[in-house]
Amino acid sequence: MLRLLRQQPATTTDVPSDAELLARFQESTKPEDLQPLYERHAELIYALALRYLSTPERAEDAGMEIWAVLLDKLPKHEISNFRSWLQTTVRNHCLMQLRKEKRDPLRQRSGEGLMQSESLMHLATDSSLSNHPDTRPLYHCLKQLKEEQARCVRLFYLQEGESYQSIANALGLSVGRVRSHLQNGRRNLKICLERRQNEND
Amino acid sequence: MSAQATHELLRRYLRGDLTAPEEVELERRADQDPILAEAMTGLRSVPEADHIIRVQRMLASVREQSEPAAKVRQLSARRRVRRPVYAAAAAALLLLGAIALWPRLMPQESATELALEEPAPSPSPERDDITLTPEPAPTEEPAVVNTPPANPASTSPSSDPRPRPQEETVVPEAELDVVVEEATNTAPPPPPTPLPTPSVTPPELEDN
Repeated sequence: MLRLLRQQPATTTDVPSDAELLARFQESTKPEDLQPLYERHAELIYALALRYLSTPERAEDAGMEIWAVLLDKLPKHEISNFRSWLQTTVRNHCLMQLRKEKRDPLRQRSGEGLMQSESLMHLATDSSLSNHPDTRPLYHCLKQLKEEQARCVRLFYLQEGESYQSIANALGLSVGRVRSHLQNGRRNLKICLERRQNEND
Repeated sequence: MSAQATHELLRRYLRGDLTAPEEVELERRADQDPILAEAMTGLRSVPEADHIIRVQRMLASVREQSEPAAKVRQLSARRRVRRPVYAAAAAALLLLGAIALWPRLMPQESATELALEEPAPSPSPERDDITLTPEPAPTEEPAVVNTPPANPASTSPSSDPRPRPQEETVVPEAELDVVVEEATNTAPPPPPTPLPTPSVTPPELEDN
């Protein structure tokens, strides 16, 4: 009996959906009603702006400008999927800015080509890794990494419960530096593994 | 899982609170969700940046912009309630002042009586500030100024500040209008407590 009661989902009423927050704002048009929606998606807005504008400072400025754009445009449109609409809006806003500055829009970033996190997780789960034929290349490539990259990769993927922050604290680095080491490490691992695969073919 | 949990994962990623299994989940979602994939591409393009600070500044700027609007609405609501009360209080004081002054036609008046007198209209630059709250000021002045006709201009400089004690009870709340004016005009809202407007509050009354 108690189990049934506990299964009552309180979450649906506690956490309003994007659609609910949007409807509330579109009805009242008060800035205070837009705020929760904006705050929920602030990281996304910033990250998308960074994607299009390439520097954190300009992404931050764009993020602030988007607030005014939302305030103005949301009450005027019927929106079925807020997140999609948001992405389109951020993209258009940034592209317009780039056109004004005559910069190259959507420059390809070198953030691509990272080794899958999931594959690296297997380092931690397999017990006899050094004997397993599939993981030998991975171990080999791990040894090829620079000291700080290898250290971060091992800590993050082999140790349980580590976060960028905890590693940063342990090694006396900034979160950004740890993030950078992990990214570079993963990229180098991928390159190394692909090279080995090409050699074996 | 719902899209709402994704924004939470993204936040944790920015903060550096993500563990390896959570990162796997985030990447899995990015494979399915092109919007998230774009976002991750953006963040990864500058891995060493302090993204969190940027987002916090965005949020702070937005809060500054939306909260004054709410505050103005609150103040406006309060103002509407208080104005009739001030008008009534001002009228009552006016009446008392007129009654008290009526027998006094002599220019040699004590300081307290001067306090009840209205100043002469011309040398009163501080009046201009009171125009922000038009109701109390204009209604008071004409009636009381007319009653002591022998009130010479020489006493007016000293009489100017005197009426303030009675009006002081009215002015502070009226200064809220000044706050509202300024709040709508400037980006960072000044504190709603009494503003330092020296022209309205003359030196001798500053400790009121």
